Amino acid sequence: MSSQSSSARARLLQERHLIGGPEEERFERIVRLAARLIGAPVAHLNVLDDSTTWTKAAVGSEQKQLPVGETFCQRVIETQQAVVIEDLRTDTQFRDYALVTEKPHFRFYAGEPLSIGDEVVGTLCVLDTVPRQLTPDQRELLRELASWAQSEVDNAGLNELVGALQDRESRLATLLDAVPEAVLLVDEKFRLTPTNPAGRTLLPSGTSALRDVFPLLSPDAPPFLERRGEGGAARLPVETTLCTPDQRVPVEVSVAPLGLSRAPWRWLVLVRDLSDLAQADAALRRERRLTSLILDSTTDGIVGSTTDGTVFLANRAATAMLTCRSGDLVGHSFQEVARPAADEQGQMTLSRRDGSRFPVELATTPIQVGEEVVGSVDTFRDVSQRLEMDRLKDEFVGVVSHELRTPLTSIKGALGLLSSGAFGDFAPEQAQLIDLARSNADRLGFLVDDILDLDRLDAGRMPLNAENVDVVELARQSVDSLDGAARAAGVTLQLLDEAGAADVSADPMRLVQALCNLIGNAIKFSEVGDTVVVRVSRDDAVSAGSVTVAVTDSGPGISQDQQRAVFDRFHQVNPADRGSRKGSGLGLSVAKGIVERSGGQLWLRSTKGQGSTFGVTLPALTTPRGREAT
Amino acid sequence: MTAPDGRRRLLVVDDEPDIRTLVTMSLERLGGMQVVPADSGHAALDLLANDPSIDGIILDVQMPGLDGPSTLERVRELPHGATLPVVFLTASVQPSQRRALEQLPVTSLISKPFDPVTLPDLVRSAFGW
Repeated sequence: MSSQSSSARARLLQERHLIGGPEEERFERIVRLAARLIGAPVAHLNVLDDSTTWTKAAVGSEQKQLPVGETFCQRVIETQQAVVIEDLRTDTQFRDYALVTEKPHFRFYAGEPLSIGDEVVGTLCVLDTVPRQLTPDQRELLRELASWAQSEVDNAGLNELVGALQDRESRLATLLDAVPEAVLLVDEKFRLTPTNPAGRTLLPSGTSALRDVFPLLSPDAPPFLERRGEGGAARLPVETTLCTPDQRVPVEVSVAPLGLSRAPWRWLVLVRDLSDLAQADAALRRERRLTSLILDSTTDGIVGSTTDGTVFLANRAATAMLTCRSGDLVGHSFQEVARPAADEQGQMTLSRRDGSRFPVELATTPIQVGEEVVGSVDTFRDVSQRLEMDRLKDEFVGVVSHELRTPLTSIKGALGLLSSGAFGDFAPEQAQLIDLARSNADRLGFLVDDILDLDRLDAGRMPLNAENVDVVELARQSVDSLDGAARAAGVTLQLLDEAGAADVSADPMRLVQALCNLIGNAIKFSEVGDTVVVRVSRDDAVSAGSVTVAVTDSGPGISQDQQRAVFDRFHQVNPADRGSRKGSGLGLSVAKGIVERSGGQLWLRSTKGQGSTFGVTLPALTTPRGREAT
Repeated sequence: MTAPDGRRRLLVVDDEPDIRTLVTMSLERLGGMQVVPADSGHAALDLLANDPSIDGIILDVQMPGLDGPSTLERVRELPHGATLPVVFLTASVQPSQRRALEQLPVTSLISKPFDPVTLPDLVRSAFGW
């Protein structure tokens, strides 16, 4: 007996679960029969691994396990055949064994081999305490019983196999239940049978003809299956449409040949429902269609280009304005097709296909993905019509201004002549009425002037003849020109020069106009006896430096929520307080427009009840006097 | 040439009667001048052709028919018009237009709207009287 054979035996016994475990009923019946039929007091069914003789069933003995070297069965294993020892005391090997020399004092042993495959792994044996012989019938009986036992041992393997198969099947069933794909079996007649829940959901009516299920495949369905099957590939999916009685479902189908010789099934078909994917795809397509509809519905031209300038998108308005087809733009350079260039007036223009040019508003914006610039979008709008409208409006404003100014000039002139005394003196009430008419004519004149100024500021057409001017000097001019008005209102004007050199670049006439509007406002909102302070200062904290003219009154102040509105057109602060403080409501808007066009800022600081400060801050041109000296 | 009473004689050309009235009253009542009004460029040229006693012209720029600059051109062609002092009366505020007018052979520009009370002073200083 080789050790190799011994471990092979042990392994076989382990696999069949024959070592350890309870005694088995199926073997007990055999040993009982053996004892009775042979007429022996003891019978065993033993299996032997490398070291131990295990008793699977016994009659007339309590023995459960013994070292192999103490049992007689070892000879059956060694000889691989039946063994009969008529008197153990005469056997040179066994006569000194405890089982012989001590209780139960065995004298007789007969054992038949039991095997797994070719390997003898155990015995069916009978023992007696007296020496004896077995008749041929008894030997035949023992052999029959052994072959019964052998079949039980073999069955033990079969049971194991069945158990293993059952395990595997239930694992497979769990798997089949869990997979989202419908698993279908196809037979030779191209009938589909669902094998899992997903399959039964797909084919609620059970086995169905391939043609009915895949009508789109049907003309060449069997070849399709053959073709798919040939490669033996597990997955060569095709997308198609599955027809159920109520719906058509987009699916992905994979086919694998089964290669079973006897079963009717020839192919395994996996069907994956693509509805969700299809829906997402449809949603994406819908969104794209919507986006392109929006792009094509806008009246602005939109052209998308990659970083190298190649157009990848052009909407309908773009091609319509440029009088070209989409293909003339897409794949080409926007610069080369539309040739954007400014005309003599600085107006941006684009070129049509025929070479004619039209004025546009053109904006180019980078397309960014995160930090990276991946292209650009050119957006443009034909402004021919708007420019024409602007021209007409200018004309209209020009005409209106002339038409308004002319009668006003006459009214003011006539009243001025009357009150000049050239035509004699008037009674006090007559003089009062003439003054009333004059001041209102003046107001109307200011209003017309302000409207014209605002219109020009809006259009960017207010001519500003910028030159280097000393703000202190301009502030003085403004104060001087309003001195009369201030005195009439009982208000003192005070000019504080804290700036030293305060040169800025501005149109002196317009800057004086803006300052006069601010000072005039301050006077309007002051009480008799108040002082309006005009302070010119310089701030060199910022790099280039700036000059500020601040006009401070001690009037009623402006509440926080009204502060933004004061620059609105025709806005009158606190109308209830207006009384005689009549203005056009445009002065601040005009001042703001002039200051901003000059590159400066008009600001307001005020607290209700504590007066207001309106300030003009402009970029300074020179370093302050005194700085140079130090 | 001056009026028989020693007053300056001014030809005032404007298509608007109100302006003519104001200028006339201002210059006659306050300025002590004598005004000969004309309602168009053509009327002004006719008057000039027949009245060599005019000392100067106040000429509106914007007029239907012959406008200020065209009238000026014809005035300069008259025998005694070449050196006659002419002042334009203009409502234009566009610097470019003002500059264009200043290029013409005129003495000065007076802006509309003008103050009739100070107009005589403006006219006197423009003509150097």
